Amino acid sequence: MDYYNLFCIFRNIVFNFRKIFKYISISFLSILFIAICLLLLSSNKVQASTSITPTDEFLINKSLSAQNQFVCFCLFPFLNDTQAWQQNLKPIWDDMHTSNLTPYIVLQQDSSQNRFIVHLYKYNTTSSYVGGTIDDGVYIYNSSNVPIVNSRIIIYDETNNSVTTEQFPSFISNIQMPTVCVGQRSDLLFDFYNMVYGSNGSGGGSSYDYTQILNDIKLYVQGIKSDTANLLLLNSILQGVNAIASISPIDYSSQLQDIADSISDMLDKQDEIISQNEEMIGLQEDINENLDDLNSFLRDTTSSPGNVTNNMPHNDMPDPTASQVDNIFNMFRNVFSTENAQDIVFQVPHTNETITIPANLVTSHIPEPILVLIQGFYWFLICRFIVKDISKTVERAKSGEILDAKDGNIKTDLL
Amino acid sequence: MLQILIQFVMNIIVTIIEFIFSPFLNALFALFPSLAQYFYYIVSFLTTGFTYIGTCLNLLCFTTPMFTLLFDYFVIKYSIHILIQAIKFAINMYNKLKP
Repeated sequence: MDYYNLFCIFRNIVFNFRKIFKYISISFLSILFIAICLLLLSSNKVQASTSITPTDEFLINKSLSAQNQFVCFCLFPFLNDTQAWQQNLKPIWDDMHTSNLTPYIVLQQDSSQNRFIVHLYKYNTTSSYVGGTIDDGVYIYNSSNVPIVNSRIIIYDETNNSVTTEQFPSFISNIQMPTVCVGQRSDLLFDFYNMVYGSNGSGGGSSYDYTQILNDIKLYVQGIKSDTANLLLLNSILQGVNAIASISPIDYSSQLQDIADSISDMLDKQDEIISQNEEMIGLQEDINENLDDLNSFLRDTTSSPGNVTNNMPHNDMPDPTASQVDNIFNMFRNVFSTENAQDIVFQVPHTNETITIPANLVTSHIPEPILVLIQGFYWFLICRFIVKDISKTVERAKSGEILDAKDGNIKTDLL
Repeated sequence: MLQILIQFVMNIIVTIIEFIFSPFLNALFALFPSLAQYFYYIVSFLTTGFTYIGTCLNLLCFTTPMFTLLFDYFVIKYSIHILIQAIKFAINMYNKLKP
């Protein structure tokens, strides 16, 4: 019978282990399958055959916005035939025109030096590259794999509205670049390109039809988020459209009015956002001030509660139990917990003799091992009582007996 | 300040309890002038009775740490009990007094 019980126990253990391992193996295989799927989805090879991810969409929109912004900066110098266009901006477009390359533009504002820097990169789509995805003619590169053909830094002086360019330094490979995408031209860039390199090679002028460019500028302005627009960009747009209006005899009043309305709406929204930000800053300051007041109030240790309670009515009558009854518990504890054993002395009547029972009568005659054994037994009894009592209390607490508060029975609960 | 607030609330409670019990104390002292002496005799009786407790314990081979452990256990146990009852009392009072 005993062997059978052992067998049953062993069988149950094996059965439970099998269940655990089965569960673990299923969970592990599920997690492994999900991890492989995530890795495949996040790899470039799978991404190339699927649609554009939101991250790629963000990069494409950023690239198109940078192209539009670059056109806005070039519009006014081109139409006014300024020195800035001839010497600094036109070579860039000429490079783009002769090599038939698609530019990628990274706009970076250096506010500390009060200048606007445009990094212009051009890519040869036939260049070899490592990584990246191709979808609808859009090339997405990692920053370390960008094939740069030509690049310049365009510095816009905000105060003088002057433009200068610099060749990009040779140590470009050491510069940290964001992940970029190329291969898609914005409509505004395409229109400006056609305007510069028209049928006769010199676009613009009073005979050119600026309707498409103005419509694209209007769409671009309407797409700009007011909280991200900068005054330099708005100034360049306004300069460009004013230049078109000044040199062209064709009436573009409706398009110009649409652009002016769009910019006005954007500025209104910007003012509204600024006022909301100011309100929020004020609200934040109020909250911080109140929090500081609350903290100083909570941490104040200089005042005292006695100033108020001392003025309340007091009963000066002494408590009859205060002097003695308060110490009853301490008296009990001290009696049982302090070494105050003293000899018991009996006086024999009518004689001068006494009978003395010494306090160490037992302990002095019992051998030490037996004494330790007896005291160990006492310790065992007390510890057993405490453990039993604690377990009983825990059981009562688990059954809800202790924590069960009855609304209408406060007196019983207290007692 | 939080500590002072708590002290203030406790002082208020003690003061109110003193104020509420003061008529009863006055009545007790008026009706039983020797009440304090009575309690004094109780304590004196207990002191006398406990004179040889230590000797008895010594004769029975008990040691004082055993009783210290026992007393401290009861102190902890009933402190927790009283704390829980106080919380229950406060919750019940709040439930009764809230609008």
